[in-house]
Amino acid sequence: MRRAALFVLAGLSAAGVAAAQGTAPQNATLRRAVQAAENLNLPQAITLANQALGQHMNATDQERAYSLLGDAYSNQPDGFDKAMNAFRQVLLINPERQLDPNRTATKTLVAFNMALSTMLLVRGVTVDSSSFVVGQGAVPIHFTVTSPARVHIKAVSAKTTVNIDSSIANGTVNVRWNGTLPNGDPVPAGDYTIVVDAAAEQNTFSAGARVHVSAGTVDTLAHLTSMPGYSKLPDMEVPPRSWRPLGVSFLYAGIAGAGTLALENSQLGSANRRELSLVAVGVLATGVVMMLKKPSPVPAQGNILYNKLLDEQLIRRNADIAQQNVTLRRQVRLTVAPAAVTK
Amino acid sequence: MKRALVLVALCAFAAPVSAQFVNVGVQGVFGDYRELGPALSYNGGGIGGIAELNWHKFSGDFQIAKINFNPASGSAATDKFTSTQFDAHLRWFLASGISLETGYTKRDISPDFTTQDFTAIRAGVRANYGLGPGVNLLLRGNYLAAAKFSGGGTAPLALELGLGLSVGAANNRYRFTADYEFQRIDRKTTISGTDYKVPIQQAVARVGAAIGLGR
Repeated sequence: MRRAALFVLAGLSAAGVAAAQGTAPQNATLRRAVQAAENLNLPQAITLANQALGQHMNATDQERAYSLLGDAYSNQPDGFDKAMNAFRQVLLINPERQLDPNRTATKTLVAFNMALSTMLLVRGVTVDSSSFVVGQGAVPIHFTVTSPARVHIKAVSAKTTVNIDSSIANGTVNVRWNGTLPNGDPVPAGDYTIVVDAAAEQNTFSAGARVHVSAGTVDTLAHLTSMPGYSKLPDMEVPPRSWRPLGVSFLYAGIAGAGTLALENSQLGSANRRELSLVAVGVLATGVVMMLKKPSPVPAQGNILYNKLLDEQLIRRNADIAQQNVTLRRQVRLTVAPAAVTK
Repeated sequence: MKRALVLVALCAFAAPVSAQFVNVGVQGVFGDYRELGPALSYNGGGIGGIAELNWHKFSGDFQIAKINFNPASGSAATDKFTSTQFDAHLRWFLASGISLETGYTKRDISPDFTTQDFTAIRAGVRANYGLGPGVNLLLRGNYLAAAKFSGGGTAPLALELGLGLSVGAANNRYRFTADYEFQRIDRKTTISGTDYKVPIQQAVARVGAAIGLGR
């Protein structure tokens, strides 16, 4: 009898009835129930705990009251079902609730585990701290699903949502997240929530863990503005001075003069050719000026072609550099560190 | 007056074609005119105008000139006259500065019958050579067909030779022009069943400036 009483007291302690919560309940009736349980007066503890649940209490006191009831009922004859229901309420309030198997009575543990197995819960979502180069590592994610369910895991941030895994799972689940977007790029640095959605028939449950992702710096290659070792040639070039303008002027004026002489009708006598002289002198003078004048720049076809080839090479090189930079940006080192756990 | 209106109308028609060049200009004109023999020779001067249009491979110009001819020194002629000459040149560019040219020329003489009024259709070629930006030389030769004279007669041989110079801005906004035109017309008339040779020869020089409109 003494041994059984010790187990009950140990179970109450492990179930958080007394010292596990660290502070005394705020509700006075619950405090009396806890006191009764500590005095091993289980019937009174049950009565007072039920009375307390009829009163307004905060979530911590509610969890403590149901926990006390579960523990007390599990040590009462024919109280197993009530204990299980009480523990179900505990798990609804705090899905992460654990009992220390070394400090809890077997009956209490059985009732708690039975309650756990009849519910769909995702417990203990944890993300290990990890630092890895994208494509060469991953961050481990662990959690427990209390009953068979389809589990969908995703990373959610303010900017994006990345699907990590989706499968049927039960019990302890370990997955690895490579920290990439669907296109292979690393996820942007920032705060993420690893969300685990579990669904089985009509039951669903979600749990999450907050992580912070930071990205290392990446040395990318700068784009080229010119081809190293090559420089463009001028598109226009000044041709050398030429006799051609004067020659053509002489030719045109000569044809006009000779034509006039040839066409002149001898019956009409010789013309004074004032008009021809006026224009021909202008033509010849223009020819002289154009010969002496520095020629205007003209398009240098060879240079234009050379520059075009250089531009094409430059475009190709920059396209290669852009491709290399895409690869380099994907090889960034990501550091994933867990933050606060959320429900 | 009628011809001036035609010229203005042509300019007004050409102006909206802003996609191409339209040039209009004024010219001082100098001329030498001979008919029948050395005794009938005249020279004089006057004023003229030109409107030129370039449209794709086609180009054309319309010129009008009014020249007051006086008997040349040593000439037996006594009457002075005024010649109003209208010329139209239409060209189709072939290649390398060579264009086919056709057109019309009409010369009215006042007072009537001082010398011969003359109309003809011209057909020939024109060569255009660019010495540099905005500097061009022109050479043209035409056959003057279907010649008609106020005094009657025909001209089986009527030729025209031209030399031109254009110097201006590369963008064609302005330019100075000089143009020489020589016509030989072997006119023949028949009087009382007898054929007479009445040749006509005219040399005209036009010196002026033009401005370019449109693009």
